[in-house]
Amino acid sequence: MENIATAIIAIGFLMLFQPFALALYTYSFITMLAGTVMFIIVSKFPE
Amino acid sequence: MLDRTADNVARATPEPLAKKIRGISDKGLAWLFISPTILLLLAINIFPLFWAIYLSFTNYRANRPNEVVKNLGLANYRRILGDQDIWIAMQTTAHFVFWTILLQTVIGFTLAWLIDRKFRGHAFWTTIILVPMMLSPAVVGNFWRFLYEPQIGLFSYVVSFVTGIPPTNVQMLSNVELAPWAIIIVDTWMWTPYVMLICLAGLRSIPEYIYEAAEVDRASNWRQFWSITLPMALPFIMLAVLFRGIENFKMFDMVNLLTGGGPGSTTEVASITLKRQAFESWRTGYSSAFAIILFVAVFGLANIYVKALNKVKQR
Repeated sequence: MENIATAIIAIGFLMLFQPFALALYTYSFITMLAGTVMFIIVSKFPE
Repeated sequence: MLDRTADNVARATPEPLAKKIRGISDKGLAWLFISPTILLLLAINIFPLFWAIYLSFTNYRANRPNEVVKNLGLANYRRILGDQDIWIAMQTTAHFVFWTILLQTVIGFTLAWLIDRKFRGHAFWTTIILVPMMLSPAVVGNFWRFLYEPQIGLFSYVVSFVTGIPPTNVQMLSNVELAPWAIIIVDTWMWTPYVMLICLAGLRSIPEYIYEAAEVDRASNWRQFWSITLPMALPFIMLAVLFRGIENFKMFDMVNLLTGGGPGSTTEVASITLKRQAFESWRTGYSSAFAIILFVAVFGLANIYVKALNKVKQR
């Protein structure tokens, strides 16, 4: 789960700074926020 | 003398208070001592963060404090995430962060590796290399402005000497293509010593016996570098990249002093846009939303990075 959250953050981060499509930039924040919240929650789970 | 002073203090303490303090457990006493720090942290870090989150949903303007504050919901976020100018500012920031980190890491690690050779006078050169980092960004920004001056600047004359281009044509701060690189050069000059220092700590922490064992196994210098030096210094390099990455995403002072975001908006990084929206257009709610977007980006990246760092350390 932690790896999925990390991947979502990374994708959101790339979407925020990419120079190709405004639509990707528009949805970057929500992607990053979802990934970060997910990361905070799942990183508390016992391994 | 000291005993008498302590005795006097003990006698002067009002009896009810003395009894109360005597009754506190060790844990309670620890909380009593750290509570001022926690309160300060809450007041200057946590409260402003939550206040900024609240403001990001409103139309609040700091220059009109008496105006009725309206709740706009997600309108500020929608506007920012659909604004082409801010999208371009994000790309400028990414360009700036990528190149500064790349250059600082490569040069910083190389310098650390050379300094670690412990040649004659290495302590002196370490001190000299560290000087830029100790200067104030305001001072660095101002004197690099002079160095970049096309008429009198030393930088223009050096470039002219090497390339043959007339110094008046080397307009680092007013040329659209050169201005971003002018800032990258200054930031690299100033902060490479910081990366070098962290890398040097990493290199010095590698035990000598590992190299001795490698020598016994007849490993070449190249092999020793790739199999011992680089993997063992990697957590330190990653830490330096994390610190510089977070700092450079918020980079403001150097850009503001050197170009102010110009020429046009070619060096307008996110923090400059944020400052313009917050203190020139006075759109406090809007700029708070922008600040929250940047915060989430840096916070998310830092999370990934710390996870990667822990993995490298476990290896």
